[in-house]
Formats: sequence, structure tokens, C-alpha cells
Amino acid sequence: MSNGAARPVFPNYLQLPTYLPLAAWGVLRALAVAATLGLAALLLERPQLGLFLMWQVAIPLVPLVFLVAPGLWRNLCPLAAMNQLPRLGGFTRGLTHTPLIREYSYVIGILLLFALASARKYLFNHGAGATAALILGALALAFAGGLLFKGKSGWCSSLCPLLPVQRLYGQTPFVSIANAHCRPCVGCTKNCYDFNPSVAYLADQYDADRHYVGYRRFFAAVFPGFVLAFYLLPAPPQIGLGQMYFGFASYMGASLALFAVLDTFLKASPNTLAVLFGAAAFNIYYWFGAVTLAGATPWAWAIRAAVLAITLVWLARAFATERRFVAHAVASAGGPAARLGAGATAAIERAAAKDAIEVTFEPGQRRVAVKPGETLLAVAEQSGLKIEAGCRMGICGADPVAVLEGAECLSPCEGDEKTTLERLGLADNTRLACSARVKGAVTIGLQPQKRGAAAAAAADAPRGDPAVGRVVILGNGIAGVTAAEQVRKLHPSCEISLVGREKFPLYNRMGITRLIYGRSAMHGLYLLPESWYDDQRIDAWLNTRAERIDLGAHKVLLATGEELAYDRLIIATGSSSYVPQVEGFGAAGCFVLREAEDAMHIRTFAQERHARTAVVAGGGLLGIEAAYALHKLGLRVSVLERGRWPLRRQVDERGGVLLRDYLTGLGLDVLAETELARLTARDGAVSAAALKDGRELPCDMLLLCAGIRPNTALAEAAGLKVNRGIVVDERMRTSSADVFCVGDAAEFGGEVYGLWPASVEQGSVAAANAVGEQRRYGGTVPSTMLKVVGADLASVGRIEPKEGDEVLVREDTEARRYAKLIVAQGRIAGAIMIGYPVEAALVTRAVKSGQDIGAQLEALRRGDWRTLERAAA
Amino acid sequence: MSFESLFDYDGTAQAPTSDELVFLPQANPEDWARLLEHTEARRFSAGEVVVRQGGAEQELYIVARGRLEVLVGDERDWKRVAVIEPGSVFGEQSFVDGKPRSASVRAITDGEIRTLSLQSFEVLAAKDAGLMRAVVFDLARILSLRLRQTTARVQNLRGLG
Repeated sequence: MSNGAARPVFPNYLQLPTYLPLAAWGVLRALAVAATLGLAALLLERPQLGLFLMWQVAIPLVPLVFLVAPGLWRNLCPLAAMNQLPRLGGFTRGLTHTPLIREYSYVIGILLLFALASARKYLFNHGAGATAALILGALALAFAGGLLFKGKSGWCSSLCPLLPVQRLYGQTPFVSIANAHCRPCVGCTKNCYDFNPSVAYLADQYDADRHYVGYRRFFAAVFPGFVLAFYLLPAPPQIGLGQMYFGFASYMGASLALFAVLDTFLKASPNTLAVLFGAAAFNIYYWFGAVTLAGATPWAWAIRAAVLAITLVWLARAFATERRFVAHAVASAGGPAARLGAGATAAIERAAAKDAIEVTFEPGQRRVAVKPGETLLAVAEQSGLKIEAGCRMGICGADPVAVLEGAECLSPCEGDEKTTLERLGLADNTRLACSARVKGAVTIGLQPQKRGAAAAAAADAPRGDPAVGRVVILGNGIAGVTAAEQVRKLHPSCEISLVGREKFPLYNRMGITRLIYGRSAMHGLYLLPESWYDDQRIDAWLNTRAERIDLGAHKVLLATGEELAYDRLIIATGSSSYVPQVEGFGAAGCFVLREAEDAMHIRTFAQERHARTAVVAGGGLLGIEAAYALHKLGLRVSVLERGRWPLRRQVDERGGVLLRDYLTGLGLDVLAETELARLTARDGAVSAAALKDGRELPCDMLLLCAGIRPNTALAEAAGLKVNRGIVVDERMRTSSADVFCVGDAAEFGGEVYGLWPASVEQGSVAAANAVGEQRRYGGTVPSTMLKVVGADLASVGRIEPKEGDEVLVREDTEARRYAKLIVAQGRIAGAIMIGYPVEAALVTRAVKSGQDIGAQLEALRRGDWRTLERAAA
Repeated sequence: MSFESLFDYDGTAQAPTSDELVFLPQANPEDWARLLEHTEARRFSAGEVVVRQGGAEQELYIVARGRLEVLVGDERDWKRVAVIEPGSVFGEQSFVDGKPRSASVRAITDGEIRTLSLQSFEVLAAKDAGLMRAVVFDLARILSLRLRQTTARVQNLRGLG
């Protein structure tokens, strides 16, 4: 199919082919009017010739024109030409029909037809003067109609006595000729023939207005009787006028009765009988008309046969058209698209002005228009495109994309994003969608490209301490994998063994709540190419448990019996969910959520037990994200939060209340200042959660999100120093010189971070020190982003001021936005950002980089936070 | 029975169509701005298929610029059943019931639609319950009007057996 619009099933007059230019039609119409006036003159000058031309030539041919090419008549009719003069001259009053005129003008047309045609028998057939008067009168009436009413509603599509005949015979034109009058269409009549010739009559027959349909069916029903009466009844004075009209009434009555009987018993489609009766009238007309035209010669029979043949084709076409019409009506049963309310226009224009930047996504050439500063991730997600998301701040690497065009129109690649991209090792045109913000037109490939072989070979020259031959890493999370990757980078020749308890290669732990509501299971959650471990020459032991560390012998014993000797050991065993003592916890339907498998078990259970309600105990980041996931899975979810507001580590009370309201709006129940007391089970499965305030919530599932507990058992048994976590110094070294610890298991400066970015930093530092370099770790600025759509909540650094700090607050109650900056000693020490996704990225960067914002402070105080972007540029 | 798509009087025409089929007639430009805030602007070129029959996107579309045609049937033999003008809303059926798209929509001219995804709608609902109520009720009203039309149509077609 070409790129043009599809050819409509029933083309309207603007879609029909034009045979002649409009001006040519105008000339022909002028000739038609002239010829008509000439005929009127002829009738007065040479009555016999005039009468012959009128009644034996012109009128007998008209029905045939109606049947074959009604558009020709509609365009050339001298009455129509007169009717359209006022519109052409611009002096029509252009009135709209009153309801009464609209209802009855067609009926008056029918009556006029019957009155005038029957009067032929005693008045016009032999009355040249009367015929001339008829012609001139009709021209005058048509003109008057045009003076008063708009479009063709003053005559051609309302009162014209020929209209009912033309509509009946012309319903399925053999040749469709586009209307040459109406430029533009003014929408003057319903189901206008001139607008859409092949469907106008059908639309009449199927109209919802019973009376409107009735007038048209009435005409079709009586018309054959009328034509037959016209030819069979003797003309006055052979019979009296009353007798003649009684005859007309009888024939028409019989015709009408036949129609009614057939209508009742044939049960045919609405247009079938109208078509058949039209065909009958047409053939009766030419049965007799053939003699009028050709005399009682064999030519008359030829005319009759030809007319019958044409009629049969016409019938077949008419029936087929009705079937197409019904199919079309069924297909478009929804009706036209609803229009937008009046307020929309201005708002659409304003929105279009804001969304001025075009982003094109490949494959598929999807083009979207966005506001400057939006991240590629937000744009892709809101467009419903397939893209993975993880931390949403450039650390996990879940969302690499290829920049195909316009790389300079994106925010620069730096910091975490750059580090993560190095780990991913993809082509140079790769960006992380969550970190790249648009400033101008770009084209983005949703599939990142692989790095060429040449680029991969150009790695750093071999280095590393020759004393380090074997490095063992326990843990296949982001801390362990980062450590392994960095060791390999710094020390190309050493052996690296990586032991992971979980069954999967490195996956996006921040995305596991998606396993609860998403249907693609682990697909898309993996963060490394399949061949990564081999490419890096890392000996991976997945689904393998480390049983014991022998510090003296420098060995790790695996539960499968093998031993791994090490020169350097990096412990990255992560953390487990903290499970406080809760009476009844452990029944079926009780879960914690820490690993991919936990999430998949939750999804499985919800399906198997048709769970409808869930309680999530704990209103921290994980609790809220898990509650949202269960909500998306279709459960009714209540979240229990001990404090006055959820996410207490990330937001202050003002932000917490705003968040709670938003979650409530989404359909989550957030119960503050309450705690789980005990659980009730029925048939071995959890059935209700009793709260400390005495309330009881029925639930099919209970998810405990009470925080994490570092996995320290191995280290403790080996004799390493352990507090809450495994204690490390600023080189990530434990109490044993060759053993390092990173990630959630590590305690640095009294703190267990439990954050992805901290694990990445620690992994790098430990790896460097393990292979003989000197690197120090100075702590990680905590930064988090709530992965609940629309919440747009980010928190970074310190969220409560210390003495001497300046606090800058922006609030927009209507739009439910809130932001707070803590400024300390010329730097931003922390921030809470709710509803400011663009500014949040700038602020987070400023906090993490410790950038001096003294020069921007004034602008920040005024509320112009974009100033940070200009400062960075 | 009404056949607006066949007698879709253009331009200056005073089309004798229903004035009830208007989405959010009471909303002022500020309401619209808040609603559009939750939509994505998608640009299309003439000939581009914007919605494909059978597709599963649960989205509502607002035509900001350009004209589109509604097509049914086989891709090689598409039949146009309606034209969508700028300033219209379409796709409400699948948006509400989540069932596959019943027709394809292809651009006749270049233009832009604004898409409200179900997810964005939920965000809107959480942030602006009043506007959400208006949107939902009006969609329900439009769907009800269509059901009435369809009912009338079925009554008209009953003779076909």
C-alpha cells in the first residue's frame, strides 16, 4: 500500500475523480439554462416542436440519466444552476431550514411530482403555454429557494419534485461524477447526495428517524403504481378528472399494499424492496416510454430489453452496495471520535511550546517531543517503550542505550555513569538512559551496541603485583563483581575465583520488585553480557556455598568439598533480611524480600493462592517499593510504618506526609505509627495481621521489610573482627591483612551502608589495595530514588540541618511538589526532592561532587535551581 | 442511525453531528494543562501507522495536530471507516477495558498526538482526584453514548437476519 490515505469505501465528492474542471461545468450549466429558456421560447413560438422536444425527448431520457450518471444531472440541471446563482453571486441569505421545512420539504417534493406529472395527461402534454409556464415557474422557484436558503437546501435537496425519483434511481450510480457546485460544502442537508453519492440513499434507508425513513419508503412503494397508472389510465376528457385521480389513487394504493405485504413476509433488508420497486417503476416507465421514443417498431423492443439488462446489473450492484454499507456501518459502529472540550485548544498549544525537543527512538522511528532536561529513561518509559530501569541514577547499568545521532545534545557523561559504562564495556556511543538528559534533538537506539574488537584490544598494558597470584572473591553481588572487574583491570594475569551463593549471574537487585508484578521473570534483569565471566577470565562458582575461611592456610573451603587457595580474599557476602521476632511468622504466605528468588516466590504464591490482600511491615524504601509491586500485581496492600511517616531515612515529615498522600491516592494504605504484633494463620497459611494498636488486618500475604543484617557468620567463625558488620579500615581491609570486605557485609566507620553506590566504591577500593595499589575510601554520600512511578522522590546526603546550616525550601502545594536543600559551608550537604525530577539530578550531582556553590547561592535562594546546570557547564 | 463518517462535512461545514460527543466540555485551559502534563507528545508523519489493530497499548490519544484515518481489515486491503480530525480524542475503548485495539489508525497528514498511558493516568489519579473523576466520568459518558448508538443500530439491522 502506498503512503497515501486509504481509498475510502464510499468516497465523498472531494475524493471522487474529477472529469472536468469546475469552470467547464459552469460553462455547460450556462448552456443548459440557455437551452431551457430557448425551449420555453420555442414552446411559445412553435408549440408542436417544443412539446415534442420536452415530453418525447427530454423527459423520457431523464430517468436513464438518473440511473446511469445522476451526477451529470445534478451538475447540469438548469434548475440547480438557477438555484446556485445567489450563492455564486454572494447574495443568498443562506438561511438554515426550520424544523418544519426540514421535516416536510421532501414530502412536498413528492406531492409536487405527483400533481405535476399527473397533470401532464390533461394540461402539459398538449399545452405548450402551460409547459412553458411550468419551465419558467420552476426556474423562478429554484432561484427563489437559492435566494433564501443556504447550499442546495432551497431546492435541489429539498423541494425539487424530481429529487425523490433521482434519489431512488440514482442510488447506485454506474458513473460517479463529483458534485461541481458546492465549494465549500456548507453542510446544508442530511445524508446529502452531492456529498457522498453512492451511499446517500442507503443512509436514508438506515436513518434512525422512523418518519424520515418512512417518507422515502412511501415514495418507493407507490411510485411503480403511479407510473403504471400514468400510462394505463385514459387522459381526460375521455374520463372525468375525478375518475382519473381515483384511478391514480387505486394504482398507488395497490402498489403500496404490495410493498407492505412483501415487507412483512419477505423480511428483507431495509433497502431491498426500495431497490426492487425502483427497478419496477423504471422498467414500467420504459416499457411504455420505448414506444414514445421509437414508435411501435422493433426498436421499442430493443429499448425494453436494454433497459431490463441495465436494471438487472443495477439490482446486483445495489444489493452488493447495501452489504458493503452494512459491513461499514458495523465496522464503524463506534461512531466518530469525540471532540475535545473548548478549553483544550489553548492548553495543547502551550504544552506543544514546552515540549519542543524531538527524540527519535530506533527501531521503529518513534518520535516524541519532550521538555528539555528530561532523562532518556523517563521519555522512553512514558512512551511505553521497552526499556529496563534500575537505580535510575547511573550506578547499576540496567538501561544502556546507543546514541545514534545528536550526542552533543545530551548532558555530558560523567561520574557514576562513566564508571558504570566502563564496567559494561559497550560501544563508545553508549549512554545510560537514566543519566542522559536531553538538550536538543537526538536519535536513540534502544539496543546498545557492542564495542568493536579493536577497541577491546586497546586495553591497559599489564601491571599488578606479581606476589598476588590468586584472588578469591566471596559474593556475586555488585560489590563482589565490581571488585572482580577491578582486580582484572589492574592485574591482567592473576587467577580470580568468584563464589556466589545465588543461582544467577550479577543481576539488578534494585529491580527485583519488578519480578513481583512483571511477566518477564529474570529477563532484562541481568546486568552483564553472558560471556562476561569468561571474557574477564573469572572462574565463577554460582549456586555455591563457601563453608569456611581458613585464615592461616589462606584457603576457602566450599560446601561442595573443593578448596580455593588465595593470596587475597575479598568478602562480599552481602546481607540478609532482618527478621525480628514476630509471633506466627513462618506460616505460608510470610515473606521477606532480598533476592530475586524471594520476589519470584512471592509472585508464585500470589498466583497459586489467588491472594487478594497483603500487609507489608516496614515503610522504608524496600517496603514501599514492594508494596507498590504487590499493588500493581492487583493486591490490596497495607503498609505498616512504625514512625509518623514512611521513608524516614530519606525524607523529613513534610515530604513523608506528601509521599503518604500520593501513595494513598495510588490506592495503597499507609498506616503510620503502628507495628506488627503477631500473625494469625488458618490452614497453615497467614490469614490476618494483628497490630500493636489493637487493629487486625486480614491478609493473604505478609511481607516483612524490617531492614538488613550483614552476613558475617563466615567471617566471625574465621576470627575476623565483627561488630554489626565486618569491620574494615579505609583500605577496606579487615582485621586480617590479606582479607578485604566490601558491600553490605562491611562496616566502615561504624556504618553499614547497604546501598548500591557504596558497594561499587568499596569494591573498587578493595580491588586496588588487594593487587598492591594504595587507595583510600572516604565513605559514600547516600543517595536514593524511590522507584514508584510518579512519586519523583529523590533523597541525597543529609536531610536534616545541623546548627549553622541554611535550609532552602521550595513548595508547590497545588502540584504536590516539595524540595529542601541543606546548605553547609558553601556546599549542598543534602536534599529532599519530590516532584522535581530535572532539578533532582542537578542537586544530586552537586551534593556528591561536593561542588562549591557559593556563586549560585543567591540564585538558589530565589528558587532558580537550574543555576546548578549552568554552573556545571 | 447516523453515518457521520460518510457525511463528514469538512472545513466550514456546519456538520449535523451530535454535540454530545465532546470530551471534557466543562474543563478550562488550566484543567487541560494539568491533564496534558501527564501525556506524552508523539509526532507522526503522513502514512505512519500510529495504532495497530490488535495492539495492546492501554492508552488514550488526543490529537493535537494533523488528521488520521481509522482502518479495519487486512493490512493489504485496509478499509477506511472514519477520519479523526485534530482536536479529537480516540482510543477510549481499549484504554478503559484493556482489550486489543479494534482498528488501526494511520496518519493522513503529519501531526502530533498526546498519549495518556494507563500508568500516567494512575499518577494523575493519585495527584489530582478531582480531574481524574471528570476524566473517568466523561469517558464513561462517551462510551455510554456509543453503546446507545450501537443499540439503535442493531435495532435497525435486525431485518438482516
